[in-house]
Amino acid sequence: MTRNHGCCGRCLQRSREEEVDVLGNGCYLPHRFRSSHGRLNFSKKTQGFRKLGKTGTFPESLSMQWRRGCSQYKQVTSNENLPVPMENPYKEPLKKCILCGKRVDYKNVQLLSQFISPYTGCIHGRHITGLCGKKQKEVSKAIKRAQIMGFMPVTYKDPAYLKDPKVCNIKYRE
Amino acid sequence: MPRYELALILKAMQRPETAAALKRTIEALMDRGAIVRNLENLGERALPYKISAHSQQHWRGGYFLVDFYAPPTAVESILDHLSRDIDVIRPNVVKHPLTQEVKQCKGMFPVPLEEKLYAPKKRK
Repeated sequence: MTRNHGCCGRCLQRSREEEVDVLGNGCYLPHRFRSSHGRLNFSKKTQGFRKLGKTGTFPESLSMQWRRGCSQYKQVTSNENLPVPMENPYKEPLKKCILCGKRVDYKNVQLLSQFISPYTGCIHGRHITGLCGKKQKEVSKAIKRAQIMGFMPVTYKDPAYLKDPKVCNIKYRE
Repeated sequence: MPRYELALILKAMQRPETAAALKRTIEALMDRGAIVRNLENLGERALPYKISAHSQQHWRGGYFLVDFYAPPTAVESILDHLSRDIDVIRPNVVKHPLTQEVKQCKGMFPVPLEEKLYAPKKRK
């Protein structure tokens, strides 16, 4: 059974709340069981029932009631309590990498040695160091520069810096 | 004039000879129109790898840092002069790192990895 009475479905809801519950046990009777003057009509021929006494034909008068119900129902929802569009106030600040905002110099070999392998001397990738794009590029450029200029060894890590705290996300086999 | 930094590695020599070499170097810089701002000694230490320069192998060297202002056209002649000096193992002129300002980093944006998992195949 479609509930499409030619207007919004809300008037049905309203009429459900306001109308007196005749049976007394919370059961809602659809409109087709009610005649235009609100009396119950349980006859099987309700849908095609035309002769209703004082009022006019069955579908027209009822649809007038529904339309009235619809126009009053529109003003219930006011704009005061609707959610206001705004940016998320609980947003967490963006995560920063360990070198964010710090200067990377080719001269501090100790810092640069933390990002190379102690066995081969190869520079660790972004997925290991966890640095952001800019800093990773700066670090690798500084490492190459230091190696070429004679500040940092190429194929191994300086033994003096082997005991430094681990910064990269890598685990070596013992 | 832009600011440069000369990372100089000198042969491991006695103190008066090192002093004479440094004096020679700075005079050469000033002759080419450079204004020397500061001279730092990073100490004499073992080189990270064996360096062969001027038909000699070196394992130890004295590290010096000269920051100076110079016209950009003079840099090439400075490097040329230093490469011919026997006492200099390795000369390098770079732009001074303090002139490069550290940019404020906002942070790392979270990359949606799910998109990369089933990325469309690259077509040439």
